[in-house]
Amino acid sequence: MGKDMHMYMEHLERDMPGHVVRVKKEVALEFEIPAILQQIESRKRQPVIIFEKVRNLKGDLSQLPAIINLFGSRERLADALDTTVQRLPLEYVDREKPVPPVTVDKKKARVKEVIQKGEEVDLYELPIITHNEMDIGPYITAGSVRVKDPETKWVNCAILRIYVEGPKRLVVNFNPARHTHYIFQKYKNLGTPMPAVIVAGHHPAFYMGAQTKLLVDEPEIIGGIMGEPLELTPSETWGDDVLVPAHADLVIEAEISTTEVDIEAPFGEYTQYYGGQRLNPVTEVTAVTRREDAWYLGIMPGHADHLLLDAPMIEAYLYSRIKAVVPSIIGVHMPVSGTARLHAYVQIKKVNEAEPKTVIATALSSDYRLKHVIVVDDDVDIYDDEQVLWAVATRSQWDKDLVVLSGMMGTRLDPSGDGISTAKGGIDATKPADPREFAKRLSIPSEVMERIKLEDFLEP
Amino acid sequence: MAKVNYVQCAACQKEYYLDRMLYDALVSGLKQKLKCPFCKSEFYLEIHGEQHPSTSSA
Repeated sequence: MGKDMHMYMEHLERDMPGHVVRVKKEVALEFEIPAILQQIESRKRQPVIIFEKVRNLKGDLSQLPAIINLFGSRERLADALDTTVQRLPLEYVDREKPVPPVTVDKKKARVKEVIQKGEEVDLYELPIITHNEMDIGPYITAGSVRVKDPETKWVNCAILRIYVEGPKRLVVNFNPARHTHYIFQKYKNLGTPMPAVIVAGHHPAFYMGAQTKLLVDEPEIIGGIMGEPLELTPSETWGDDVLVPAHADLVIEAEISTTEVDIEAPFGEYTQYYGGQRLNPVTEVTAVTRREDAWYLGIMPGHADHLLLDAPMIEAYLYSRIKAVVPSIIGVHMPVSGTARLHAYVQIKKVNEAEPKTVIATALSSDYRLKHVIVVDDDVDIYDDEQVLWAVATRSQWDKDLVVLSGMMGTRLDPSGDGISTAKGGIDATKPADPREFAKRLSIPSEVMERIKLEDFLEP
Repeated sequence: MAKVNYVQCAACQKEYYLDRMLYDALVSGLKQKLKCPFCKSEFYLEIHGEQHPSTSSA
């Protein structure tokens, strides 16, 4: 049996118990779950939270517990790939290779334990959360949406925000810059709705693999990242023509209209601002299938849960792009302080003075959302905002160490941009390549640091 | 700085904002019901040129 979310949660509760919190008191779907997470985060904690008693959208006690913040910790993301936080992007690079999926019989697919089709479908039976005060309503936020290119037959996956407008009616948002939109245009040209499979709840490695930027059949990359072939099974709506992950917690099969649009948003986004109300494609649900013991997975918008999931993929992508041009790169980190998309810290072992600006130019042109890059030396911890800012404070002169590029593609969700283009920039915060040209950093003799044990000096 | 197109709900009078593309489409004559995120009521926004009192720039 393949990896799944329950297997991962059993491992966490057994081997990393500090990473899981169970809430037994009943919670409301509107705002209470995000409020609890926000208060836990204010105490500098990021556990997975399981809400055992939650109402569904009909007001009844939900059969499915709600689970959030699965992706809110880099340590957990690294653990899901059997690696360390520092090595996570490099592990992603190593695993981002095709492993063909395998098809299993429906009888062996846990996601087929409960099947609802046609009139039986009712999304209001699920504990779908309304997250922020100005959100238009409840949103499915952990939906990895799989669509098949009608020409290449490749499957593309993307986590999209999905407004639950009615018991069988969704409105799905996707950015024109994304592959999903490109495939949508092909169905529009064919004059047919676009089949979509919405996967809510799977192993974290599944989700990380589904974020790949590679232009390939993405289930193969999901298998690579998971370290095993992804098991798939025929869908209820389209049979063998469209396959669904066999061990997902919940799968929603739907058809995205290429002709009908409706109101969607406002909705709180990763930039921690609301995206404005807009028109997006109407989507009719045709089937819902799930495990008997399914959990409903939500991703909390604007929180680390939302921000970190993309980070390993973007870091891996940037690392590979930069490495091809500047081989002295050591690491890349997209900090949560920069929404894990808009800022990148790049660590190099500098060989010549042209490398930092080459890193900046390469990185800024590699991802439309990336807006600012800070390049630092190998003695600066890129996982520590304080150290990076110290490097900017003491190793940069902005009349020669700043790069500014105007009029580049940016994200619509950055309220400081004009909705289409943005000004990007980078800071060279590195010392000269010749260490004799720069001051020496403070240090305590390593022999003393290793010898001193705090418990020998401090009262318990 | 991006322009934020605030509108006022006809029912509850609370304000929220539209995406630039939707606002531009409404200005160009699109007849589309909006939905208030606070009270959930649907309403049409009347727009005459660029001088509608319910919109503002930020």
